[in-house]
Amino acid sequence: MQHKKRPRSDERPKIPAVDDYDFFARCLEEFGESNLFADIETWLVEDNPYRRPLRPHVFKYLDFGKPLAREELLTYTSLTACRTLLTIYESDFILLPRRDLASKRADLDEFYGRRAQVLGAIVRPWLESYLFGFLDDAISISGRWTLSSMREYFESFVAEERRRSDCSMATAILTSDNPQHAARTCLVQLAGDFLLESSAMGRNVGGSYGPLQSEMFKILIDELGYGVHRTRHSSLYEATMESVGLASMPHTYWQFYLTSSLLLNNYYNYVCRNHGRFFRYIGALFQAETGFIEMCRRMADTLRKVFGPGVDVRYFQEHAHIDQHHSRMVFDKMILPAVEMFGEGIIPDIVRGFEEGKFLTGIANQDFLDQVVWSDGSAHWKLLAPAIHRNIEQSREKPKVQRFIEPRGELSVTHVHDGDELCFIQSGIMRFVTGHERSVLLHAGEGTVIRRNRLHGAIIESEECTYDIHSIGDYEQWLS
Amino acid sequence: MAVVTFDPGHARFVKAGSRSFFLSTTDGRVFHLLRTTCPHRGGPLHLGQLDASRGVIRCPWHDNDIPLRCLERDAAPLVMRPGSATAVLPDPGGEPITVDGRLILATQR
Ligand code: FES
Ligand SMILES: [Fe+2]
Ligand SMILES: [Fe+2]
Ligand SMILES: [Fe+2]
Repeated sequence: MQHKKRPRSDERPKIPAVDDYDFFARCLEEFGESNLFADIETWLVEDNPYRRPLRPHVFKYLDFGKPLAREELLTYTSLTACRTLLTIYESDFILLPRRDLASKRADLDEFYGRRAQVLGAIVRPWLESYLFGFLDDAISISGRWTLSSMREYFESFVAEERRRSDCSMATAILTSDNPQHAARTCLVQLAGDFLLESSAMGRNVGGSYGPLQSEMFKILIDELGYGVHRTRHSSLYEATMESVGLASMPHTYWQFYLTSSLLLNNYYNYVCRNHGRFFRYIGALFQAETGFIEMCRRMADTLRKVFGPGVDVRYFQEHAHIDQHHSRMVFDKMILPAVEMFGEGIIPDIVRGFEEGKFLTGIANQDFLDQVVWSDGSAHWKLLAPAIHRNIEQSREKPKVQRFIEPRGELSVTHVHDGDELCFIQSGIMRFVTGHERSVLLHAGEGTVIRRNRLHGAIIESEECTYDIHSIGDYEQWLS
Repeated sequence: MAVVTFDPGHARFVKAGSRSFFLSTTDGRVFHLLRTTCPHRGGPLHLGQLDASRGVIRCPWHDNDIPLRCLERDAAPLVMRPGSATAVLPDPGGEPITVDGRLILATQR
C-alpha cells in the first residue's frame, strides 16, 4: 500500500492558534475579560470556586513568549501564568459551592462556558510551555538507562528518604517568630492541592492501558477514602484546616498562594492533563508518594507542637501510613511493569518526572521559607524605609517611581515584583499585607521594603492615601 | 445466629447482614468460610491471591499478606459434606442471608 507523504512538522503551514504568539496574547486578554477574574475588594474568596483574581488588566504588558528561565520562576509574569493556568486546568473538575448555588449560577455558567473553554484551550499550551519549558534545560537525563540502573537509582532515593530526619517546611515553621502564623501559611499553601486531592491523578483512570490502569485505580480508591466521605483525603484536610480556624472551601485563600505552590500544583496537572506525559507522571508520582511519608510524619508532630492537641492531624497521619504503600505500589506495580511492557526506552521519561517533581518541591519549600522570613521581618523592613527614602531623595540618579492616590477600602490584589521596591506613604494610612491575617500599618512618612518575589498586597485605611513605589532594584544599594 | 445450607459447587459467597464470607481451600479437602474483609483497610480478600505454600492471602489493595491462620480464627463454623455445606453465621440483624456464585480468586481450583 502506498502511504501519502505527510509534510514534516516544520513544513506544515502555520496556524494562528498553534504558532502565532500574537493570536495567543489576544486570546489571553479575551480570557481575562471576565468578572470572574477581576480585582476584588476582599482578601478571601468565600465559597465561590469560580472567582479567581488574576489581575487581567496587566496581561497585555507581560511576555509569555519565551519560556521562563530558572532564575525567573518567581517573577510576576510567572505568578500570573500560574494563577491563570490553574484556573484553566480546574475547569476540567467539578467545583460547586457549598451554599446558595443560585446566586453563583451565572459564575458557574461562565467558568465552564464555551468562551472560557475555547480560549482556555488555546491559552493553556502556551502557558505550559512558558512555565515548564525550563525543565528541559534544568534537568538532563542521559546515558543508557537499564531496568537495573533505574532500580538502583530509585532504591537509593528510598533509602535516603528513610534516613531523612528533617523537613524544611517543619523547620521553617518552628524557627519562625510566629510559628502559628507560619504553620497556617504552610497549610494554606498545601490547601490548593490537598482540598482537591487526587483530582489531577483522577485524569489518569480513563482509557485502556492494561494492568497499570487497575493499579492506578487502586491508589485512587485510597485517596477517595473507599467512598466514605469523611475519610476521603481531602475531607481529612478540610478537618485539619477547620481545626486551626481556617476555611476549608477550596481556594478561599487564592490570593495567598505563593507562586511556587501554584507552580507545583500546576505541574501535576501538566503531566496528567496530557497523557503523552504519562511516564513522566508515574515518575513524579513515585517521588511525591515517597517524599510525602516523612514529610507528613514531621508535619503531624510540628502542628501538634505549634497548636497543641486541638489540631486535627489525621490527614498527615493517614499519609505517613498509606503512602508507604503508595510508594511501593507505584514502584512495583506501575514503574517496573511499565518498563517491562514498554521497554527501557521509557526510563528517561520516568526519571525525568521524578526529578522534576523533586526539583519543584524544593523550589516550593524554599519559597515558603523565604516568605515566612520576610513576613516575620516586617518591623525590620519598615524600619529601613525612612533611611532609604532619604537616600533616594538625596541621590542624583533616582530610581523609577510611581505615585498612587487611592480611596479608603481600595485593595491591591496580592502580587510580587521582580526587583526590590520601596513603598513610601506620603499621606494617609495603608495596611500592608504579607500573608493571611498578617500585616503592618504604614502612616505618612513611613514605608516598607518589598523584597523581590515576595507576595504582598495592600488596603487603604484612611479617607485617601497617597504613596510612592520606588523601583530600587536591590535595597542594599540604598542603605549607605 | 443463623444457620444456612448451600451447594458449594455453585455458591461460595455468603452474606449475612453486613458481613460477608467466602469459601476457600488450600488443598481441595479442608474448606473454610473466611471473612472477605481485609484487616488492614477492608480490601476484598476474596479477590486476593492465595499462596497455599506460605499459608497467606495477599490482599489486592495494598498487598499485605494476611495469614490464613488469623483468618481461620474468625471463620464461620462450617460443615462440608458431599454436595452441600452448612454454616453458622452471625445474626444478620433482620436482613436476609444471601448465597451466590460471585467470582472468588483466593481459593485453590
Ligand atoms: S486493605 Fe488489604 S492490604 Fe490494605
Ligand atoms: Fe492522599
Ligand atoms: Fe498517596
Ligand atoms: Fe506591590
